Amino acid sequence: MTRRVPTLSTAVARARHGDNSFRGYRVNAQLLGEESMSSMAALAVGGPRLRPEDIKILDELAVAVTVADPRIWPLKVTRVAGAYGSMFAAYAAGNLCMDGALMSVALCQETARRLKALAPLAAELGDDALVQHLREAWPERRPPGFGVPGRPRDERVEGLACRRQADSSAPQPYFDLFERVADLMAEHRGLQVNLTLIFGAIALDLGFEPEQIGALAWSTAENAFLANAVEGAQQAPELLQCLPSSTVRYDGPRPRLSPRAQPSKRGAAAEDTVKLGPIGLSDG
Amino acid sequence: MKKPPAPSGPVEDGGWAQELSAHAVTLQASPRLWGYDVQEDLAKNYSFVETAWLAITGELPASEATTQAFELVMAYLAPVTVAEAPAHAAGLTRLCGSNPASVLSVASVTLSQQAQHVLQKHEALWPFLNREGPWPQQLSVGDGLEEPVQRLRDALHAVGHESPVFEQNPGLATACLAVLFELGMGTKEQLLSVWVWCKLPYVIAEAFAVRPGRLLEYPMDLPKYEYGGQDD
Repeated sequence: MTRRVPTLSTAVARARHGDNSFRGYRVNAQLLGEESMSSMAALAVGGPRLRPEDIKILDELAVAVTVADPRIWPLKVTRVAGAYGSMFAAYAAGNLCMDGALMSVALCQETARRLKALAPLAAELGDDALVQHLREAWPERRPPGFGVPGRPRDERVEGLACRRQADSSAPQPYFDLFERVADLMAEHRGLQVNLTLIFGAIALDLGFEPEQIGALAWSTAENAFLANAVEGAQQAPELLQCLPSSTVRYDGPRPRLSPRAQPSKRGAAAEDTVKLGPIGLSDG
Repeated sequence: MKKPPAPSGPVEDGGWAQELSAHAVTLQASPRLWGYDVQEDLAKNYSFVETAWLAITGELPASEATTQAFELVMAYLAPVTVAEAPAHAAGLTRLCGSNPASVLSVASVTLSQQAQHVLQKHEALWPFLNREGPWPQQLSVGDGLEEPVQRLRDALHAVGHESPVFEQNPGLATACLAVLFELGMGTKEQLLSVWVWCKLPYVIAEAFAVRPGRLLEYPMDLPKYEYGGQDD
């Protein structure tokens, strides 16, 4: 007798005859003609179904985040892994690189969580009190959402902020909070805001929950990986398959002879015993 | 004619290194690994397993007994069945008719994820092995050593390796990780590497035994998924 296998649940999709289901909607009957690529990504991560005007904002977000220079570290991984001609390997490698990476857009989840926690309090606090609160609640030298490597300001923030400032069609409480926090942190702690904070704010205004926002940010960054995977695989450059030796510097140990290669010590290794003792488990 | 201005941007303007740094392997025709000549020294005097130990740790095994214990533990740790995600995912990739390189890629990715997951479940083991914490009771299995664990203990005893971990009735994976740690695989990176390296052949065995394109031979509805969409 076979044992009953438990059933898993899914809120994602079901294949059907005639029309497929996706996130609670029929693809042909309800989504086709209504949704854009980015609003489908919003549904994919479990987010809300957006109004047409909100889809436009999300589309803008997806455009503004595009930084696709192949020299940027995770995109360079895409290029190097795709050097033998597979855009799939390239795309997968680039995305794997984002798992836990320093520059991961998944940080948007944390920035959104912090903004959401801050919002009710910030409404009650004047600027001085808010600065003091931020020192305690966001004590890191560089809290998530701050720090701009390689340039004085994050151009993506400037582009998005301009668009949101020009749009007065609906309240944007989290964007307003973002602007206030960004100004105060720059003035009092000398910190420049980056994309992950404004992304978190705009996504919260659109109705996403923090736990959906990391994946949403990842989806909007995908065009950068896609572009590099496609072009990198098409090029499959020999240069990336193996760099010229003149561009590589050896920093490893100096040449050495193994114990068994030293005539006087031949056989000595066999007499050794295993030595047990405290061993450190490091991350390095 | 005026020369166009040099491009300017965060990459051009940054103070980045100019060369790629090699840390372990030299680029010469007769390469060296962590300083040892591969062809003239390692290939003549060491087994492939010992050379791999060197690659993973940066040093040769301390003794032949270390190597023997290491090989034993890897042999016990290595088996992966098709029920486990790495072989399942790689076999499914093969079924789809994917490129063989992609089958191996999926195998490696899923094995790495499995290794990371197992190591996370063993966080409390390392302080115990360093004599800095109590035995994590959740890692004990039953009241006595399970047969495979007893066999491993006996095999290790025969090569001169005793481990206090066997007093705690660990599961097989826990015992293997503990002994690897005692032998000198002392970082997460090293343990992850050993896990993936020793298990990959078993995943390969299952994955490439699958016949590409025979979609009906795969139990598509196992396990069942219950869709909870509002349009259901």
